[in-house]
Amino acid sequence: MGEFVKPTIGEVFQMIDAAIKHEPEKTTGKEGVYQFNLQGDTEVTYQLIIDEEGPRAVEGKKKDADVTLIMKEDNFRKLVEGTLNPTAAFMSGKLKVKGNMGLALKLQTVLNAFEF
Amino acid sequence: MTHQHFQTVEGVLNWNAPLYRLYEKAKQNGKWNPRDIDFTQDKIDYENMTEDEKITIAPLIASFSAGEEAVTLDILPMVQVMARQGRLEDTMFLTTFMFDQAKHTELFSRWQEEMGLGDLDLSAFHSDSYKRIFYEKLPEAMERLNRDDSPNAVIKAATVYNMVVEGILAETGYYSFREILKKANLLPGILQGIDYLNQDEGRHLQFGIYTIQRLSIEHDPSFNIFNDFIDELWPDALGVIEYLTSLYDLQMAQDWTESKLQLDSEKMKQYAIRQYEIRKKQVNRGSSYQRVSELNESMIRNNSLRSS
Repeated sequence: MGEFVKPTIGEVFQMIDAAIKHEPEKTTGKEGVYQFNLQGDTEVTYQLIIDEEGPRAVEGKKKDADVTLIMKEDNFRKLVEGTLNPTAAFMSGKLKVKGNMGLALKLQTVLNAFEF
Repeated sequence: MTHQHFQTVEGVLNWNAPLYRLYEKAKQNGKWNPRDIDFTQDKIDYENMTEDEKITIAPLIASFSAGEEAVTLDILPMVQVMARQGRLEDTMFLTTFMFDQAKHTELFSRWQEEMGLGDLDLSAFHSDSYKRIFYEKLPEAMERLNRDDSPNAVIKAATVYNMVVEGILAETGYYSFREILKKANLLPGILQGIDYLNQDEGRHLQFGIYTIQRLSIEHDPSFNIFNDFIDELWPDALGVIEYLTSLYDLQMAQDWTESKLQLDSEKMKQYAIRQYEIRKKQVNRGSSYQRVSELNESMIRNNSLRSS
């Protein structure tokens, strides 16, 4: 049996992109640009954009962020897996937030709406 | 600046000056020590609160921590104005004022430290309205006093500092703390601190009201400087409150939120509006006086600044 290979962060965002495009109605009411600055071996940036063009996840800074979430890559994986929620991550200092705190609060609702 | 004479050599303090009376009151009532507040139960309560409940009160803590720090740092030019203008009793009162603000800053910092929040950056809870008032308008108005101690500048400084920050925002903040925490029977230590803050703030408001009235009677009998400036600041003051209530409402609208904390957003906004109206009414009462001496006599006659 082969060893489990952890998906790269790029692959995680591809998965998110596919999921939200498959069921875009689940992102209604959560419009905004969520930027993720993730720290691993290097720092990478992705955006989750929910706007009139439909929800999508992209690499880099494509639009001005409404909220920027800064955390370690591993903690981001836990958020996506559902083993860490954004509120707990913020209150324990694992997640730093800059910008619109209201959108940050909605992130958990977005994540909860999908099976990644 | 050099001194040409000394009031207490040529005579004595003016024991009946309104702000001397306030100074006496401060000495008598402002003796509490943040370090004496017992946060043992707060720690137990905080550990038992859900993450959602913790984040509900975080914006209030973030607002007060920065707010108290700002008013501690920004009061100095007002003290220097009163000293430069030879207002000894006012300056003496402001020494207690500064000490109060330092204790308020200490209170929140101690509480955060004791709850294990010492390293947590809560600045994301500062909305654009909050930033306009606390990061910009307040320090700008206070800093201006370093180069301009005209009645216009002092009235504006006291309006943003005493009437908006203390008289509207802090008062509404106390109300919110009590509404949320007393109902839930949580965090008695910080609530005790809030009671002390509220008592201190009462004296600070009296300073602001008196100072604006005194200068307006002499230089702006229509009270336009005050009224125009508080009206200019009001949308951002309300914006601060609306942001806090919107975060609460948003959090409660999420189906995953686990919180038994309750806050009536509309009631909180109405409370803030009421504070705005009260502050305007209090200050504008001064327009019925032709001379400052009449204002002073009225304050003494009404015993509004009794030391006990």
